Amino acid sequence: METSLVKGKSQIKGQSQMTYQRQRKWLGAIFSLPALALLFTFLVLPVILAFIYSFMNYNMLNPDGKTFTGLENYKRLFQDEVFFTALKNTLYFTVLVVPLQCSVALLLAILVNKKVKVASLGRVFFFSPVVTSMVVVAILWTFLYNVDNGIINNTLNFLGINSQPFLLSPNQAMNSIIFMSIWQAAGFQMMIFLAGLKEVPDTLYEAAEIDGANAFQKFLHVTLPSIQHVTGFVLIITTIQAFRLFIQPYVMTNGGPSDSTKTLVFMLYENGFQFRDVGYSSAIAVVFFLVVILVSLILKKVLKQ
Amino acid sequence: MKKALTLGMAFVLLIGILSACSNDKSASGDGDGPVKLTLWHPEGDTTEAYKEIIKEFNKENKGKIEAEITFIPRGNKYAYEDKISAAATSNTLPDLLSLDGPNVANYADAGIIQPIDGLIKDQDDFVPSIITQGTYDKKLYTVGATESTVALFYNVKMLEDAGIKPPTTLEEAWTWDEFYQAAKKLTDKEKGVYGVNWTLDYGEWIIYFTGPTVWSNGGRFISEDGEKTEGYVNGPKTIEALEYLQKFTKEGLVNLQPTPTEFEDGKAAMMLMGSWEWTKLQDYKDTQWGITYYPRSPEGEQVSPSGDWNWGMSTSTKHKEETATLLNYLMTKDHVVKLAEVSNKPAARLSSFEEMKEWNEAPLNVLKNQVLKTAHPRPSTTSYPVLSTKYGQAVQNIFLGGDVKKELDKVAKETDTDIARKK
Repeated sequence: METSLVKGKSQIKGQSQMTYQRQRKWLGAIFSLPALALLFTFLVLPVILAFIYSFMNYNMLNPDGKTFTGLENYKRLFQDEVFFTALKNTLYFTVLVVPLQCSVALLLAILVNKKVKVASLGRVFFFSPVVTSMVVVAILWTFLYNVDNGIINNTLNFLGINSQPFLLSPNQAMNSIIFMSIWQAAGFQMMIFLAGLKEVPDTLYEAAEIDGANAFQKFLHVTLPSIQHVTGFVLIITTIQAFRLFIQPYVMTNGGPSDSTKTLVFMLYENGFQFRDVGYSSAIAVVFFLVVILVSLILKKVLKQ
Repeated sequence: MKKALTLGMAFVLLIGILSACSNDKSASGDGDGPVKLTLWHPEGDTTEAYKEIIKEFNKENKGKIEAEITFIPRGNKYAYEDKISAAATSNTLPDLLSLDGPNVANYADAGIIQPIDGLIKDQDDFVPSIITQGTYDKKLYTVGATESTVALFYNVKMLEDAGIKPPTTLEEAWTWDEFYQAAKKLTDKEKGVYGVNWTLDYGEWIIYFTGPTVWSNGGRFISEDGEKTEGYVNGPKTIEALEYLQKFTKEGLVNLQPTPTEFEDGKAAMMLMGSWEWTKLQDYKDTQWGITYYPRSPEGEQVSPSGDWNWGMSTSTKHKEETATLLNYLMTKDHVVKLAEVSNKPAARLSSFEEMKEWNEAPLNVLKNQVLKTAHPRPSTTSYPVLSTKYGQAVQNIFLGGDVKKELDKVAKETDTDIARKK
C-alpha cells in the first residue's frame, strides 16, 4: 500500500519533470538556433564546401562550369614543387617563431611583472605593436629593411658592418620576417604570461628563498611549474597563428625572392583569388587543415607529459 | 502567455535572419520607376570626374534611368580584381564594370562580360590599340576613355652635364646599347645617383613595362592562338631581352629598392615610367625633365606598352539597352577629353586627343606618338592572371640575380598547366 503510493507519487512527479525538461530542451534549441545557424553557415559549411571543391575543376569566375575531376587536384599538389617549398617555409617559420616568441614573451612578462612604477609603462610599450595593424607594421618594417636608406643598414654601417640585403635575399628574407613578427606579436603572449605570473603565490618564492634558491633556480623550480597551463595554451595558439603566416609575405616580399617566403596560406590565396582556381586552392586548404590538426594534436600530447 | 511571447520572439528573430540572407530582388528596378544601373570603377584620379558625369547623366535621364557608381580601392596589387571575382561567384556584379585591359580575355571567356558589337557609337574614332585590347575571339567586349604608355623620362641637366643628347624623334629612338651606355655613364655610385629608375611593384606593372623590350626583340609571351607559352615566354628572344634588362640591376645602374621620388629628387638620371606620371613631376620645380622614346632592340621594331582600364557590360545585366546608353554617354568626345585630362592620360578617342593641344608639343608629343604609332597590346589569354603573376615574380628574381632561363621555364610550366585546366 505504502510502496504503491510512493511509487505513484514519484511517477507523477517524474512525468511532470520530464515534460518540463523536454520543454526546456525544446526552448533551448530554439534559442540557440540563430547562433547555430550562423556557426553552420560561416564555419561548418565552408569547411564542407572546401572539401567538396577540392575534388573539382572550378574556375571562380564560372561557377556553373565546375566539374568533378576526382583526385586530380591532389595529384597535382603532390607534384608541385611550390607546394613543398611553401610547406617547408611554413614549418621553418613555425619551428623558429614559436619557441623564440614564447621565450621573448615570457621574458618580457617577468620584466614588467616587477613591482616598480616603470613596469606598467613597459606593458604599454611592449603591447602597442599588437594593437597596431599588421599591414601597417609590415609596411614600416619594409622601410626599416631597405638596403640603401633603411635605418637598420644605416646603423650597421655606423658600426662598421656591411649593408645586408634583408628582404632582397632568399637566405635572409624569411629570417627578417621572423624577426619582425616576433617583435610585433610577443606583446600579446606577454599579457597572457603576465596573467599567469600574477597567480603564482608569493609564499612559494619566499619558501624557495629560505631554502637558498637563487633567481634562476626560483624561475626554474617555482615560476615555470606554476604557469605550466598558461605555457601550454600560449604554445598552442602561437603555433596555430604561426601556421597562418600570410600578411607579412604578402605586403613585404610577395612570397619572393625565389619563393623563399611563400607560405601555404599565401599559395592558397594566390591560387584561389588571383588565379581563380578554386579547386586547387581548396585542395591546399584541406591539406593545410590536416597539417594544423596533426601538429596541434602532437603538441597537446607532448605538453600533457 | 510568457511562453507564447518567447516563441514569438524567437520566430521573429529567425525570419529576420532568413530575410537578411535572401536576395533583395526589388532593388534591380523591375517595377515602376526608373531603371537602376550600377557601375564599379577603381578609386583614383578620375573619381570626381566620373561622379560629375554620372550626375549629369541622371539629370538628363530623370525618370528613365538612374545610375549609381561605386569606387573601389585598388592598391598596387589585385584588390579590385579580387572583388570582381567574389562578385562573380555570388552573382552580384554591377551592370557596367571597369576592368584592366589584359583581363578582357579572362572575363569574356568566363562569361562575365558580354560582346558590345554594334552598340558603340563612332567606334572607328577610338585609337586602334584600345579596340584591339577590347577584342576577344573576334568580338568587341570593352571600350575605354584613356590609353597609356611607358616612356623614358630624363633629367635635362644631368644629361647635359654628361654630354648625352636624348633622341627627339621616333626614328632616332635609342637602341638597347645606346640606352645602356647612357645609363652607365650617368650612374655615379659615389654620389648615390642611379642611371635609371624603374618601379618594382608586384602587380601588373612588371609585364607592362618590360613587355616592349621583349616584343621589340621579336620575343613573345604566348603563341599566336593563345594555347601555349612553352617556347615563347621562355623562348630565346625573350630570354635575350631579360638578360639585357638584368645587366642594369647586376651592374647597379638601377636601384632595387628605390624611394618613390628617386627621380624627382635627382637621385636617378632617367626613369622608365608610365605616361600618367608627368603631372606629378611638375611639383618638383628644381628638376627640369624631358621625355624620350622607349628604347628598342638593335634590329627590332619600335614598340611601346599600351592598354588601360575599360568598361565592359556584365552578362548579368537585365537592361542591356539602358546600359549601352550609359556606356555611350561615358564615351562621348567631351567626356573622354574630361576623363583624359583629369587623369593626365592620352585620350583613347582620336577626336578627343586632337582637342588636347598640350599633347602636340614636346615633351608630351613623345607619349602621343607612342600611343598612335608604336602601341603594342599585352597578350590575350584566359590564363593571363597566372602568366602576369608568375612572370612578375620571375622578373623580380631575375633582377635579384636569378638565372633567366630557369625562372622563365617555371613561368611557362605554370601557365601551361593553367591553360590546360581551362580547356
